[in-house]
Amino acid sequence: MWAVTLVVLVFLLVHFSLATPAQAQSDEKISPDIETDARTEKHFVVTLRSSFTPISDKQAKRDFPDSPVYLIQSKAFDKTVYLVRAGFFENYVDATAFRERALSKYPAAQVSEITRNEYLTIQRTLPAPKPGAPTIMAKKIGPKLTPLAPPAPIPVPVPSAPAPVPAPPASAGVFSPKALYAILLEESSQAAPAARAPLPASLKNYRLYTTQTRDKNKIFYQLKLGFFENEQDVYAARKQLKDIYPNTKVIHTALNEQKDSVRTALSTPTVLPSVVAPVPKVSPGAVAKVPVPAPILPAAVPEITPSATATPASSYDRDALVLLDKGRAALARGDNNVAIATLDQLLRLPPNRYSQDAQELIGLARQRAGETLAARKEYELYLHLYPTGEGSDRVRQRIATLDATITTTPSAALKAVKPRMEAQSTIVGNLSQYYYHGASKLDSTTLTPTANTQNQASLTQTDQSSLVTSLNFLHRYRSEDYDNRLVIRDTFTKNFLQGQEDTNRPSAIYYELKDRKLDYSARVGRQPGGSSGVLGRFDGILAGYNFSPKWRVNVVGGIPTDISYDSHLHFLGTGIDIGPFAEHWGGGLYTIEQKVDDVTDRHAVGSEIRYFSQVFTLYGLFDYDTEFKTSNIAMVQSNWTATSGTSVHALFDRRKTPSLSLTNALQGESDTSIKSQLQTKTYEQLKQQALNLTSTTDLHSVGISQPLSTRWQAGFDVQSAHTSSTAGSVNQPAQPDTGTIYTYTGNLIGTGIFTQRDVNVFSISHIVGPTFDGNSYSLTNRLLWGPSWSLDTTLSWYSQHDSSTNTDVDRFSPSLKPSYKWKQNITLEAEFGEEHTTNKGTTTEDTNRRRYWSLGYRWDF
Amino acid sequence: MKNPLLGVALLFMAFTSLGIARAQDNTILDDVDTSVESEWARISIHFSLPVNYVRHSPQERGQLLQIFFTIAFLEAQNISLREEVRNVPATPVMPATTITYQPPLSLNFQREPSSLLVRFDRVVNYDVRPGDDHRSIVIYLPIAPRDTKPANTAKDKPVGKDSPAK
Repeated sequence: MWAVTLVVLVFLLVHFSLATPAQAQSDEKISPDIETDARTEKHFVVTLRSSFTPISDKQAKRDFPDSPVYLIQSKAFDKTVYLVRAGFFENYVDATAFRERALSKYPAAQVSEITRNEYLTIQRTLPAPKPGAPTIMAKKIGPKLTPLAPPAPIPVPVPSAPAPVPAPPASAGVFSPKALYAILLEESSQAAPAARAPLPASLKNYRLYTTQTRDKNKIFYQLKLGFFENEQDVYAARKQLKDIYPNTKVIHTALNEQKDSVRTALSTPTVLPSVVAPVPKVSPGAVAKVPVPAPILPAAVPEITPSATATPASSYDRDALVLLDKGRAALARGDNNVAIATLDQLLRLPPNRYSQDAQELIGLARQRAGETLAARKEYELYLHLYPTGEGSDRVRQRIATLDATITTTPSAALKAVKPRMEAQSTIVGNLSQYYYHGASKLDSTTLTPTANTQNQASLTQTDQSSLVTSLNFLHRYRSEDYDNRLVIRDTFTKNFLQGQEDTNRPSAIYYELKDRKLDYSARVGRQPGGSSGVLGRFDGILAGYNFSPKWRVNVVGGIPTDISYDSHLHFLGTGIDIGPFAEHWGGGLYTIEQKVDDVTDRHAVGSEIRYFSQVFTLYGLFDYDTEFKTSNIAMVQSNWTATSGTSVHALFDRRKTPSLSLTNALQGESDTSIKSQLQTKTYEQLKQQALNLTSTTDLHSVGISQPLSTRWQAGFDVQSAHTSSTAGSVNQPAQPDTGTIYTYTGNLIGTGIFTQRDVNVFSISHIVGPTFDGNSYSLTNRLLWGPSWSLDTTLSWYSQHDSSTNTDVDRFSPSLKPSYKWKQNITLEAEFGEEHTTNKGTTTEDTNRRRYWSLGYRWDF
Repeated sequence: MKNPLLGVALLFMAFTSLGIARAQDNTILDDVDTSVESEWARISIHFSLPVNYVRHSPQERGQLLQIFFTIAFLEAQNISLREEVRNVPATPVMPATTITYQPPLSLNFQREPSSLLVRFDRVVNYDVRPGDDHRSIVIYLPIAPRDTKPANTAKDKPVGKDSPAK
């Protein structure tokens, strides 16, 4: 142990000598701001709900029929976040007022500022918040057609000298369930018709778009203008267009066509600045006004003459397209710097139809130019803005390729792009001291039914008087290339009772180094096990190296610490970690050999399998001992969370108990040295003895949780447990089979029930064993009181009847735990409790009453 | 020694190393990591052993959060019945957080799953998810806009009173 401590101290001194002034500071690094939108105005929404599992916005739409409510996906920590939002608000105060109204139904509602990109996207696609389409029938045109998926955007003619004209977002605010009229301008079975000419200024708020339909095996392409709310407007517009499009028809569209038209819209119509009408803004309570549709007029299709004039159109889309083509061409000929400059120019335009492509291409251009980190940043921005779709998959793939490049061939250019991260030093942890006192009184009564007399004996004793001091210390020092940690967790118990030794239990004292550049890590010292085949805490080293982004090799070696035999144990193992594959899968393989006094204690091969998605997780572990030729652990656990909040968890666990090893043979032996045991027994005999003293435990459970309201949640679990018998040995009696014990547990969790800030857990269990059954009831209330006080109250009652011995057990355990937070980082805590147990048999009745209390403090630093 | 806390830690080690005993009981909590992205903060609570997330309450918002989980990897005799505490210091975007491992009331894991009690220093929104390494549970905290109030409206209404629970 001293050696480990020494090693840790040496590491500590080395890395402290490298550290900048070691003052505690935030361990966090806010990612570089990746917003590119020039924000001249702010847009606020109220985020009603957010979740890392898919959620629905249907209820919210019902709750707020007068406000635009939408569901949107975002990304955080490489995971998809689902957000239900209501908008839009021009200022924070209005949004806050709306939030106050929403809180009763949406307690997690909060005001969010959204990007201009999100604002425009939603404005374009969101129907106006007054459902109920007018009761008019679609006007049929031509043969009966079947709608197809929207076609790809069609490039618009590029003007020879495009003059950028600040145009408002096309048709912002005009779409609604009531705006269902459109004008079919042209139709063709050959190719999608292009816009013949710019639209008149009076039609600037309408959208020019294309659709496709299929009739039998033939595809028809349409050019349309939409969307109009009444026949007066649509026929007036049609009249204006008769010179350009002589064969127009007024049609009635479906809501979906409005949404799809976002993708297939052609350029924003030309509008002279002098005639640009203000774009209607949607604000709470003042949503874009939609006039009531006029009565349906008889369809009258006037004669239209061909167009004679055509003026070149100008818009951001057109400019963007020019720049995109230029950027693409530069990229194709290998002129990466020109491509970057051109695409950057495009991306500085307001969001347009080509922003997405440009964002991906500029990443590619930077990648080809050797600006690896800058390329990654561009790709990350792409994923931030466009988290779903085919393009996002492609970009993720590119990032993966980039990561491999960064790992293997960091270039000089790379260093030039990103400034070096400032080293950060953080110390966090706590130090606590608690005094524990416990005293018990045992009253034993012998019942003598024949004489109807009682003999009573009492025993009173103080069973605990100790001062427990715990330290939890973490020092983290991070630089551009390294992440260092020093972890110390130790508990020292000073016993004041005679005959009880003071103890010191260091559960972790390790130093960890991660090299971000070379992608290796090492942890040295006392550390928790639980991976790579190490089943418990150990003193030693665990190191790993990522030789490719998805493959990592690990080595582990050390001495188990949780074994108290007179034998020397040590182990050595290796393994690989794989994944993620197919987005969700990962796993690992390992082999480990543990020696005890130079013979094999445990020799195992094993595998882990992991599945992780937003709604389903699975973890499996299989450990097979090649020395004993039997499985040691087979375990699968999983969790599934539905959009409704319903959560299901399951566990299948079959394992040897204790974990299979040669030292299991030492149970019950006074001589706990394998070396000396081998002087009287053969290795095979010891192996058999270990098997004879090892049982197999099966634990299966499945449970479900269901939110009932914002305050209540219910859960139900069913579990079964079984431990097999053991054959025993000369010095260790055989253990009987426990039979299968079933437990049925119902939980009810309520928040804000007794006070406004409390959590209450009501739990009822019914336990059925082969010879006994029991019931358990518990109530736990945890509440916060004022800014500094908290109180935990627990009431627990357990009763059991054993039919084989005709005994009854009753146990009642109340406890009270107040705490007070003093000066931000000092917490004073106390606990008072009692455990009252009655064991009643046919001839005796024992009553044990134990009272305990504790008092102490915790200093958080 | 540039930091007195480190000195305290080393002194503690030196003092207690005189009577080091083998650690027989498993500690459950390992490290707690924090990280921040543009709109979200993340608290990753790492465990020494694989855990299976069961449920949490309240669902989305509160100052006290209780997370229930099961540990399949433990032999009952080695379970720690001591509370374990980790703390996260406050930052401009993250509340000070105390994470307390609440051991079961007894060794009967079947009817008494383990839980974490997470106490924030203010009411917050959150989402709780199992970690993708199956040895952690992750709390996501959306970061509310900080400088989003227009200058002329900042004083109009108090916005700090953001909790229905207060």
